[in-house]
Amino acid sequence: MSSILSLLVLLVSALWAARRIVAFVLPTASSDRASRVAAFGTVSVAWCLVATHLLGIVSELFDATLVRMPLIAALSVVGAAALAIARRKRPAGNSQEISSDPGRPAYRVAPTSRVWLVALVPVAVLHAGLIFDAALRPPTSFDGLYYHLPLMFEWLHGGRLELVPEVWKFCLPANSELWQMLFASTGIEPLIDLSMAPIGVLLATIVLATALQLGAGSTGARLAALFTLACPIVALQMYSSYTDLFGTTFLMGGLYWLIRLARSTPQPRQRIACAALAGLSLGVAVGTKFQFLAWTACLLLLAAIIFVVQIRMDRTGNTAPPALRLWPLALLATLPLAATFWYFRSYYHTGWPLYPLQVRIAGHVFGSGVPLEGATRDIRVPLEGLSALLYPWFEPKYSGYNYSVGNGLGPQFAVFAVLGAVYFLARRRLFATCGERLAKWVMLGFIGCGIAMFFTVLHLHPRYGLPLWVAAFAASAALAGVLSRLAPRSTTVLAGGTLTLAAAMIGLWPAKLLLGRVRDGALSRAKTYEMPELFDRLPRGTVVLNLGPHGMNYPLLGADRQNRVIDTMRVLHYRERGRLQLPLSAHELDEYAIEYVYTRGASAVPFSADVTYEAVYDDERDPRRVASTAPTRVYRVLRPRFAMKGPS
Amino acid sequence: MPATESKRRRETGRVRLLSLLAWTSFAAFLISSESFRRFCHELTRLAGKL
Repeated sequence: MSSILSLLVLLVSALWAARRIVAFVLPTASSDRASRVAAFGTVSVAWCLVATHLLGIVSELFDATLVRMPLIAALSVVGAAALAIARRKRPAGNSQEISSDPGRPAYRVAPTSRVWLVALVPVAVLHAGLIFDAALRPPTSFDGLYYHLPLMFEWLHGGRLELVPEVWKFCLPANSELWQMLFASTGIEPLIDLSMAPIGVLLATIVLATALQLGAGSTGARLAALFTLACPIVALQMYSSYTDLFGTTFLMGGLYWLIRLARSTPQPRQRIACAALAGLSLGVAVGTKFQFLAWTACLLLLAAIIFVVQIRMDRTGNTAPPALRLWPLALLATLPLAATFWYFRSYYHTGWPLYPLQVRIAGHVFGSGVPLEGATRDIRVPLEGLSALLYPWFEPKYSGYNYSVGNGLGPQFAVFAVLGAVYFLARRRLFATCGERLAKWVMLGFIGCGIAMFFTVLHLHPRYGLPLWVAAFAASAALAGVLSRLAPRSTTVLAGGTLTLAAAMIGLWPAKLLLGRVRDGALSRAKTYEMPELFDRLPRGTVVLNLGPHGMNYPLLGADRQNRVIDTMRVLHYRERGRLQLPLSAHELDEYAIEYVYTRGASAVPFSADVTYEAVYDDERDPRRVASTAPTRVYRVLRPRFAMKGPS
Repeated sequence: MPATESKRRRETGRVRLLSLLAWTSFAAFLISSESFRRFCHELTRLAGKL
């Protein structure tokens, strides 16, 4: 209960503080609601993250356990109170107004209601269905069960955002996990996956705002936002524990503020405000995943180009105040706010800020940790050569249903985004002023960098290229707007048809799984994870060894996350050092205090002759078990000191 | 007036071409997409079960 209250206090104080900060940074923004919402969302999330990072830093420096929800909420309230006091002390009337007029879009007309409504309905139905599904199940995405969720509960149990050197996956930048940890602390499992939904809505808002900045009309911009929400990778990650959506949202936020900065910012304060928001947003992305370092480097390069071009543009005016050139400082000042913690933590513990990523340049190895090829060795490459170029039309995948958290762009991408990006490149009429042309080239530069990165590195998995796909959706707004204005009937059918098809293709699999679970009466946690219920009822602190699949690392924690699981990543680490080899000896079981051993698929008993054990679960003789699935067995280790323990 | 008419015609022609390209792209997706093929297969299978 205290965690739920803490979360509510944290969110309310963060939203209040974000409102004050946005009102200060964008004082008059009445005509540009999308940019205010984008700024508000970015600052709110960054506020929660920075509050947690501060406690994380103190915990690391003083070896304390301060990352607790009540403390995070208290720190957030103190920060909000400090803002309120600072705001009151500030003399009134000195706020220089900044116009947030998005400029002079070529086709700024009222949305064509029919296109808009026809496109909105399938997307709304899809997300209503996905929310309903997510509310009725615990987290189910594979990477979440494998390591994102165990990491969150490692932090919650330990009260620290600690580095776990034996598991390199637990040493990565993890803003996304931190965001979900805040919701996981409530103990309400469906909230974890649902917490990513507002991030997806923020991404759609950023796409809408970007499209408006790039001269699309409101119909085109709204269609681009709907295309994004109906992209399979986006729609399914909005209800999962995957981190690509989180990082992409804030990376696109950084792109949006840079485009806005390039387009029309004649006053120093406007530039500083846009640059500060761009830096903050990019910082959240850089603190989410290493791959966003590369994307951010592209955007910083584009920011440098904007700076140089603006200096030349400013010279053509009468007088250019030197303050116009201060914005890069604002960008560089806010960028580390939501990112530094992770790199500081790695440096503090290992002396290498990028740990666990080892960097090789021209044969020289820098830093300690895992080489990149080691980190990606489990990834198969479905896209090579021509198939990568034609991915939007072919959408290949090795196994399973095609549309998943990691695969698929939807028919609307093949129809509108590719053609829209080409149209955006060719269209000159939309970009009359120098600023508008600069904004266009920033967008094209980002798409160009994205294509180059996708074909060289990111083709390993389509979800790694998510910023590229989302940028193409934003660029397609001009085409969607023009088509809906000049060929409304055809566009209504095409947009409605592609989005309905996308919604049906995305929703089929979750709907099938949900209906199957309802039909079989398998809505409980244990039945969802296909594991014995005893793990949900074990006494707090019971040590469970997972010798089964990676995806059982989280489920074995139990319904109240009360168990201590020696997960598959730690098992691998220990085995590389010659420990926990099969058969397990009594000495090793004692050393690790292992009480239960979970296995799947193994036929032999995993113990040596000196171990006394009891087989407490074996589904091989269960007539309901599907014959093709590997049998699950659970063993309880019997020792005098654990004799009183057992399922209650 | 003729200039305006010519401009309007050019724009109409351009929009028709864009619309045609978009429909062609949709058709290419329906024909070649592995996702759509599996979706249809799954739907057929489910319909068979019902």
